[in-house]
Amino acid sequence: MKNRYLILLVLCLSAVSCEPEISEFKPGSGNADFSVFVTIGCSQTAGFANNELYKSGQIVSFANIISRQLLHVGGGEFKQPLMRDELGFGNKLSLGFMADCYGDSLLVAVPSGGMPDETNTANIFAEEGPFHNLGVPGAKILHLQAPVNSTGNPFYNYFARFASAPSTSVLLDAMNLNATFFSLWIGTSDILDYAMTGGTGNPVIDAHEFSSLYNSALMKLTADNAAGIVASIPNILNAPVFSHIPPSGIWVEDTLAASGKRMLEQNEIVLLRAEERIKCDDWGTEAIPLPESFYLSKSQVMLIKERTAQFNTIIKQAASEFNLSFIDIYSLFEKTKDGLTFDGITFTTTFISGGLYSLDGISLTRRGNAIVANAFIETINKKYDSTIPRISITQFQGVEYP
Amino acid sequence: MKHIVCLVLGVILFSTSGRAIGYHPSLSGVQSSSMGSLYSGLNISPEAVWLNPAALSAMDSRYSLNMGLNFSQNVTKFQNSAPSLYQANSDNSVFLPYHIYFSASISERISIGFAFNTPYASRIKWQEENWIGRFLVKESEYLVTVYQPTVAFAITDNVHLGAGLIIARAGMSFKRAIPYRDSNREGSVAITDNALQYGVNAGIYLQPIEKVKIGLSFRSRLHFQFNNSNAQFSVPGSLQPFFPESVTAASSASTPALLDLTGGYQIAENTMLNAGVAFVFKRKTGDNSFRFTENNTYLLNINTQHAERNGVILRLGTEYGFTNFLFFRAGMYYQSATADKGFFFPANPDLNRLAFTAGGSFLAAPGLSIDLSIVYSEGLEKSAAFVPANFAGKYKSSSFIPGIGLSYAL
Repeated sequence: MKNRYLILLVLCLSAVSCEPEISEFKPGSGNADFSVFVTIGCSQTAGFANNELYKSGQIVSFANIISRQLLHVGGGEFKQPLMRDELGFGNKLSLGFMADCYGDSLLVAVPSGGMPDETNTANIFAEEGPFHNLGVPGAKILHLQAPVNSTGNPFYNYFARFASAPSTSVLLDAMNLNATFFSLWIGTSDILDYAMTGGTGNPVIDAHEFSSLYNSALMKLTADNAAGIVASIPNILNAPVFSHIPPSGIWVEDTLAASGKRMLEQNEIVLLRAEERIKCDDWGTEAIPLPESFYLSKSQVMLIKERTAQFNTIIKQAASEFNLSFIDIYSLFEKTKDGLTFDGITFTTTFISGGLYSLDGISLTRRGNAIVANAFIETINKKYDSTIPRISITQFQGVEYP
Repeated sequence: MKHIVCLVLGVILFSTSGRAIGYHPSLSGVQSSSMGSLYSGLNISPEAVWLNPAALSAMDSRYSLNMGLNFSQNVTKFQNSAPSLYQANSDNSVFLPYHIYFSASISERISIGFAFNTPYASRIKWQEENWIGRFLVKESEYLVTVYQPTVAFAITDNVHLGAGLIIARAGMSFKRAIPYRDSNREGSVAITDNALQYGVNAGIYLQPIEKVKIGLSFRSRLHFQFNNSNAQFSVPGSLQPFFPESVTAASSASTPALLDLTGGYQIAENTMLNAGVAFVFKRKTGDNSFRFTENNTYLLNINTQHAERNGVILRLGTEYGFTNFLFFRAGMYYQSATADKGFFFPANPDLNRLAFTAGGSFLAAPGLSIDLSIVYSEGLEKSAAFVPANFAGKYKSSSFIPGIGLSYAL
C-alpha cells in the first residue's frame, strides 16, 4: 500500500514536470505557390513613413512583413532596395518639442535633421538586385509602365535607385522576376497627388484610362500564370492630412464666390499643412482667406470620392476577370473612423495619438503596416485555401514619444 | 432549511457585477484536498470550519487545531487564434496559500470555531515581457484572506446547524502595458489596493444513520469595492502632463457564491466514500472597468467587462484507515468554468478543470497528525476571446499543488 502511494506520488510529480501541451497551428500554402513573391505599388508598398523612405521603415513595409510570414509556407528570398540609413533623402519627421509662435513648447512632428548618406541616391541594382519589392513612393498607375527616365513624378528618383536599367519600367522589372505570386496596390497616389495640392495641381486620371492601364498591368503580371492579390484604395480623406483641422469658421479664397471669398462648409476640407499659418498668421480669417491650394471644396471632395469609387469598381472587376484575390482596403480603412482594435490596442484616424498614421499624416505607422499585412494574409488565405500565419500587431513598435 | 433557501436566493438575486476572483477547491485544507476537497471522513476534519460549519458540533474531539500550507504551481499556456504561430506561457512561480482552523466544543451541544485561510485567489503573470496580450494584462493578483468566527449547534445527535461570519480582506495588484513608448521602453500602469468585505458561511449537517453523513453548506459571494486604488503610470516624459500623480482608480471584484452538497458513506469499518456537488453561482455581467479619476486622450479607463455562467464542481473522494494511526486518501474533481467565452480576460483564464488528488495522515503522537496532500489539476483546452480587445486564442493549464499540514485534537 505504501509503495502504491509512492508510485502515485512519483506519477504526480512527473506529470507536472511537463508544461501543458496545446495544439499548435500548422501553416500551409494551399493552392498557391509563394516561392517568388513580388510586390508592386506606391508609398505604402515601399515602406514610406514619416515623410521619408528609410531603412527601418522599409524593413517593416507591409510587403516585407508578408514576405516573412510566407517563409512558413514555401516563400523564398524577398529583396528590398534598402536605403543606406535612417534618413533616406532627408525629409524624415520625428516627434519632438517645438516652440510655436506663442512661445509654447508643443509636441509636434519636427524634421529629424542629420545628414543623409549621399549614396542613398545611387543605383544599387548591380550590387544588390534584382528586387522583389517594387513599391515606388508616389507611383501612379501611369508610372508602372513608364521608363525610369521619362516620368514627371518627382518621387521617381526612388525608382531610379533600384531600376535594372534606365529604360526599364516597374512592370518590366517585375516580369523579369518570374513571380509566382504578386501583390498590386496602386491608384492611391493618383488621387493623393491631386488632393494634396488642394485640387490645383495635376488632375486625377479619368476612370477609362485607369481601367485600361490597370487591366494591361494585370495582363502582363499574369502572363506566366502567376497568382496574386490586388487591393482597392482607401478614402484618403480619412487620413489626418485631410481630417485633422476642422473646417468650421475658416475663410477661403474662392473665385466662384461673389466676393472672391467665403466660409468653408462642413463637408469641405482644410489641409494639414495650413495648421501653423492658421494658428500664427491669421490665415483662414475673413481678412486673410486660405489660398485655394490649402483646402478642398465640396466639388473637389466629391470628385475624390467619386474617382475612388470608380477605381475600386475597376480593381474589383479586374480581380474577378483575372481570377485574383481581392482585398477591400477601402472598407478596412472606413472601419478605422470608429476605431479598430487588435490585441487591446485601438487604432483611430486621430493624428499622432491614433497610432495608425505616421507623422506625415498619410502614410502608415509600423503597426499600421502590420494591420494591412494581416488583412492581405487573411484575404490570400481565403482565396487560395492557404494558412499563412498572421503576425501580432503588438510585435511592432508603436510611435516613439520623446 | 426554508430560511437557508431564502438566504441563498436573496444573495443570488441581489448580486452585482465584479471582476471574478477564482475559487480553487484545493486551497481550503490539506486533509480535504487529498480526497477531492471533501471533509467528511472517518473523523471529520476541523477543516469543516470552512467547508461546512455545521459539522463542527459533530466532531469527536473537544479541541482541535489544524494548519496547512500549499505549494501551488500553475502554468497556463496560450496559443493565439488561427492563423498564428504565437504561443505564450504564464510564469510558474510558487504561490503559498495557507490555512489555520480551530474548533472547540464549549458545551454538549455547542461548538465554536475559527478559520483563517486564503481560499480565493486569481493570480497570473505572463512570462514574456512582450507577450501579445500585454495591453490587456501583464500580471494580475487577487488574493482573499478570510477570518471567520463560527458557531455550530447540535439540535439532536443527528442534526447540526452552523454558521460563520466571513470577514474577508482582498489584496489586488494589476499591471498592464500602455501603447505609448519612448526610445527605451513601453508605457505601463500598475494598480494596487485592498478592500474589506463581509459574508456568511452557513450549513446543515445530518447523520441520518450511523454510516451516512450529509452536509449542505452555503458561502455567500464577496463583492469587493476598490475605490481609491493607487495607480502608478510609467509613460514617456512628453506624455507625463496627461498622467498626473493624483490619479487614482476604482474597480470591483467578487468571489462566487457557492452552494455545496456533500455526502459520505462508510462502506467498511475503515473506509469512507464521499461525493459532492457544488453549484457556483455566476456573478452578474457588467462593465467592471478600472475607472480613473481623470480621463483624457491618453489616459483611458481599462475595460475588463465580463459575462459569466453558473458553474458546477463534482467531487469524489475516499478515505481508508490503514491502521488507526495511518490514513490514506484519494479523490478527483471536475470544476466547470464560469467565464463566458466571449469575455475571457487573460488575467483569469478560467478553464474547465479536472483534478486528481491523493494524500494521507500519519498520527505521530496521540492526537497529533501530520497531513500530506498532492493535487494535480489540468485546465482543459479552450478557445476563447476577449471580444472588446479583439484578443483571441486557445488556453490550457496545469497545476500542481503539494500541501503539508499539522492537526492536533484533544
